[in-house]
Amino acid sequence: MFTVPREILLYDDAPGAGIDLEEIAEYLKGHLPGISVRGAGGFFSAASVPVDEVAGEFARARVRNTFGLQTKQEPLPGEVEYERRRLLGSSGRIFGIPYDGFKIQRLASSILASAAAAQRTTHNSQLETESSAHIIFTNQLLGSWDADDRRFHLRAAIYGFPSLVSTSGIVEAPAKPRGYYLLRDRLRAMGQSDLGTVAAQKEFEGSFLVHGDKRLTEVAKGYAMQAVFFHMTGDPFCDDPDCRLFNAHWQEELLRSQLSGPEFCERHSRALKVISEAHNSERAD
Amino acid sequence: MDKPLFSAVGEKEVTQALIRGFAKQFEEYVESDVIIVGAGPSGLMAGKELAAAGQKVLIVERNNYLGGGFWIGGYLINKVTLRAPSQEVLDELGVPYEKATEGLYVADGPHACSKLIAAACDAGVKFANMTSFEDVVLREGGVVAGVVMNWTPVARLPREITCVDPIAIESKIVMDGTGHDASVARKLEERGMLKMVGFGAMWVEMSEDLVVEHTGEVHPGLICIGMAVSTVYGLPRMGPTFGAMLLSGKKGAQIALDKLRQTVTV
Repeated sequence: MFTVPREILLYDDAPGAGIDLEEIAEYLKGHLPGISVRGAGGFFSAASVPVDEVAGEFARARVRNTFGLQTKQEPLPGEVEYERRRLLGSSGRIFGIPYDGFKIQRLASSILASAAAAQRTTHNSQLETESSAHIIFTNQLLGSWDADDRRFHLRAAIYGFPSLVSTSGIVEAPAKPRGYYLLRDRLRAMGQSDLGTVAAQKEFEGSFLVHGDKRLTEVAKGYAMQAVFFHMTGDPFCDDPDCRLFNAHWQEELLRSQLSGPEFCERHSRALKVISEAHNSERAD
Repeated sequence: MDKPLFSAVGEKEVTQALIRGFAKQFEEYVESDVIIVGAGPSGLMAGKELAAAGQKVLIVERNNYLGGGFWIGGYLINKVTLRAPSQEVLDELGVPYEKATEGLYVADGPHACSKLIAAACDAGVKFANMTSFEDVVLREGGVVAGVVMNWTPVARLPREITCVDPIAIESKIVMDGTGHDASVARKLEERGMLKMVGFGAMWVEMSEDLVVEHTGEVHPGLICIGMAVSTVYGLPRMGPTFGAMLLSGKKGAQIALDKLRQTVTV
């Protein structure tokens, strides 16, 4: 049983990340015929909510302590001003601050609800919102709190209504090869901080994604499909390491599941086939 | 008999020259346009830019030497690394450098640091070295309007042995270039006027952009530059790389200039 969305909207809040949203849209259309997939421009930067409010919420969502629960602290004026400049575009390409992904998702959800309320028609606007899958591509780092090891972890995506896919998170969240960290840290211990990072990147070049990597769009397609499956079934993941829906924790796993072998496992291939056949039979009617 | 190498000036003339020169400058700089606390790379850079733009700048430095950590990189290795585009500052200063890899440059620490100090002096910056910052001067409304300072050796002595009061000097703007300590911002925090975030610890490779982007006024009258920005905003830690220090100093100077020009216009 699938809750197939009527349309999928892809938002571009990832300036300079180098992903091609049109290509991702075409990819989704190819696997989900009958569903409208379109680019919808920027999300947070084009929100109907005043930019100062959005900036304030981003500043409040900053992860201040990786290893502890966050204390409530009103953001500094300089932090809000930084977020404002980032949203308005002058610092849009800068990233590096980790945000609580679920707080950002709640912000996005409230923005969608505001927009739906503002555009209320004779139809039930709540239904219209739910029948659309919103996927926001952002270049900002998103994290979530893990109660098991009591620390924040970076995430490549936060699935929900809407879903958020972090282009910087795709690079930073899944771990690089172990050897990379050992080499980098050995050189850093000798005072070669920058050169240590460069040497380690060179040694393991190609075995992990870097920012601006040519492979990012292809990998992002997999995350977009995970977001769609979350919308349809409530479960974005698959246990099969060759399937696009595999929840990769290592870069090696990510590249395997997104760039090589068959696209989907048997179960998810079948699911997409069912959706496609349902659409074809509707057209025939 | 051979002619003496030096002129026949006595010891008392030497002492009088020191005192007169020092007193004249000190009195002149009791009030300035900008006081920068910290003569590290960000403070020197900001001072150079401001003085070159015609502003009266005094840098307060607790050590005898200027330059902060810019003399050496990590692990006492006396090479400094800079990520592009900050090597353009080395071009301005006339410091030679080598390309380590695409986007990363290496220069001699002593050469870069001494040229930056010289550039600040040439631009007209004056220094109060061996002088420790002790507190801020506040105007009505809590606006930072100067600093309280004392000789570093005195500041380090226990009060039981000596009680030498500090003095206050005034300015239109104060800049905190004290590095990790963020000493000036901390004085505001002690008064409950500012809440600092403290150090973040993640993703070293991305921190330089964030330091430059967050550089600015943290409280009326106080601009943070360099590593002090990291401490105030809890930005990720940074290794021994200096590009952000230089560009943060430049940006801080521009922000200060804009504010000073606004004051004049009003």
